[in-house]
Amino acid sequence: MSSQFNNDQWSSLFWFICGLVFCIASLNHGVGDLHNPGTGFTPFLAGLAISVFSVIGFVKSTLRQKKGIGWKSPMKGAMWGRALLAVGALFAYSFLLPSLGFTLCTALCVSFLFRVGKFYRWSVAIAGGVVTAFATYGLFVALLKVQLPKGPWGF
Amino acid sequence: METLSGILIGLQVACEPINLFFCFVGVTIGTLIGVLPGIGPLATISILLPVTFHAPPLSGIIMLAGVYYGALYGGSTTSILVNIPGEAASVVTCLDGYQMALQGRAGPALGIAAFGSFIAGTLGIVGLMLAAPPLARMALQFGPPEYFSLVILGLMMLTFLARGAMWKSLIMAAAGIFLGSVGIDVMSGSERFTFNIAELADGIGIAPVAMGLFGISEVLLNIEQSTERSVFKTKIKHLFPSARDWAASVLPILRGSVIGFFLGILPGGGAVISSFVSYAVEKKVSKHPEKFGTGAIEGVAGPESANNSASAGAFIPLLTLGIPSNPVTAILLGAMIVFGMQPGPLLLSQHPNLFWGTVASMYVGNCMLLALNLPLIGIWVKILKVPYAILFPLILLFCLIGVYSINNSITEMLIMIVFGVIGYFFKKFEFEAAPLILAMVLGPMFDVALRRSLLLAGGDATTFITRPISAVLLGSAFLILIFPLLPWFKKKRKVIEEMKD
Repeated sequence: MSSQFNNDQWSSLFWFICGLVFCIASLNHGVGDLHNPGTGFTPFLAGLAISVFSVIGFVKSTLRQKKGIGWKSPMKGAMWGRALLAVGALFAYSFLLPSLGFTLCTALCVSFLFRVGKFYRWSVAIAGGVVTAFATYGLFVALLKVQLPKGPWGF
Repeated sequence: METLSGILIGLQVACEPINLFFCFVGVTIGTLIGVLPGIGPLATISILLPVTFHAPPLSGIIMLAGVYYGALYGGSTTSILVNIPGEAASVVTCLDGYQMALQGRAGPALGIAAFGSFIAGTLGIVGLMLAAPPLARMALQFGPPEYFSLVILGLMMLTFLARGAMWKSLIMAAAGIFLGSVGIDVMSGSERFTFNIAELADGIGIAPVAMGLFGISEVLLNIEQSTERSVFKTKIKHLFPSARDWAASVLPILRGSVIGFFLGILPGGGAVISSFVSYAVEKKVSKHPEKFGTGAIEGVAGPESANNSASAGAFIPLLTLGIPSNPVTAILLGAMIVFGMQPGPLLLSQHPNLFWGTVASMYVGNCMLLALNLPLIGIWVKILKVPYAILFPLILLFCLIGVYSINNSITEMLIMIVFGVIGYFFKKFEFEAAPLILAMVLGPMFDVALRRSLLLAGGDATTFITRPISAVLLGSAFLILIFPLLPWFKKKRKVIEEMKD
């Protein structure tokens, strides 16, 4: 038997804590009773259900652990660095969009993502990013009249 | 007579130029994403949802529905030519479709998949036309306890049929109910879990969550793998199946249509399950079951028909009861609510144009798909060769623009990204997001139905089991909950999971 918790034990523990937090947060909104269920009634039941199901999950995964199913890294064999860089780019895009404007922000983000995806040369990635930025500007702003943030340059 | 006049109204509405245009756009995009592995109808509908907000409501719904059944058509192409299913419902098609392609019979395989899909889709729509009005009339008798029990049944079905351990699916469903409760409580008017964020006052938007859980997370998982696709190199000929192929396929197509339609109606059922069941049935009734897996055309015709028929069946609970039977229809429900329409028994009487227009547009869309799939097969094969390194930045960009354009909100963009990361870890730890999104959409209905039932019954919780319809629904949900404890069902569920893997 492995001494370390397996994946399901960790995830059920995580959800147990989430369930408790949801229950406590719901109490602040007033759970009420069966005669007069309050605002927090349904979320409280949801939190309670999460905790109960996670206890069931923990018990089941503990039994599986006794059969030798231990921790298996979910990141093993995956190039998770790419996913991390992509998420970073998405967050950066969201924060920079209002100040840099759609076109510049899109060109920068897409260039970076092209580079992340297949290690295209920077020149190729930037060219792809700029073309994409102007093409999507044309499609969404000029054609579909979607309002997107303008940068200091007016586009 | 009522149905006939409804169909005529529907055809009139569906054939308006703007609706034809949106239907064409929907089925084309649907086929495209069905062809492309790594992005399914759920992610695409989520991504396109904000775009439809700029269109007339009916046109938007027609387009999203077109994406759904279009993807089921397109999914077979990659299964047959690349041995990679374009989306989950085409997994089974790989087994015999790819083998047929290896034997130089890619043409008949693609042909029968397209014709089978067309026939089944058409039969499914006829079933939808006939079954929906009486069901809607029956649903008018539903009160809050019945709706509560129906939601419970839908969630139980979906958690039962979802991949992986049932406790995980149940957690997902409960988490969805919790997320659905964020925002202003319609019964008391007070805010819940909004943290003074204005965007949360109306609840967490279904579009950012769905785009994050299904669109962003899918991309993140795909880019961390370095799989290269190799398209089957052969000249695709004889797309029109021979008389012998037709003879072998007619009964599987009809059986697949019936199986798909009824499994599509069931909450939690749908295209994926119906394709597996159809394949199993065809293998069972075949005189040569040993040929399955080696290029039997019945193994393509049955499942491809079933998954398309299921897409029509899935609209029945959505349009008549307001209950989505799978995550795709859950997002369509969200779209309808955003458009100011409440799907349910009153939809047929209050918005007949929308109801019959959507149904008729599906028939028109099926005709368009038949025209798209066969003559344009060469283009779809070329699209398959576009590297994912070029596709994924565009998918992410469309997600970002799409979610921003709903309310011009950076907060919703951030919500989408956060849910993208959450969805990524859900998949890493084998939690399926489908029950969560379904529960999140149904959450407000669940909340109101539960509390209103208790208020009306004076706090008497037995109201759910003393009313006959509610009791039957709740009893069915309870049976589904205890099924996995029975050894026979445990074994069957394991078989389904193994087939999905």
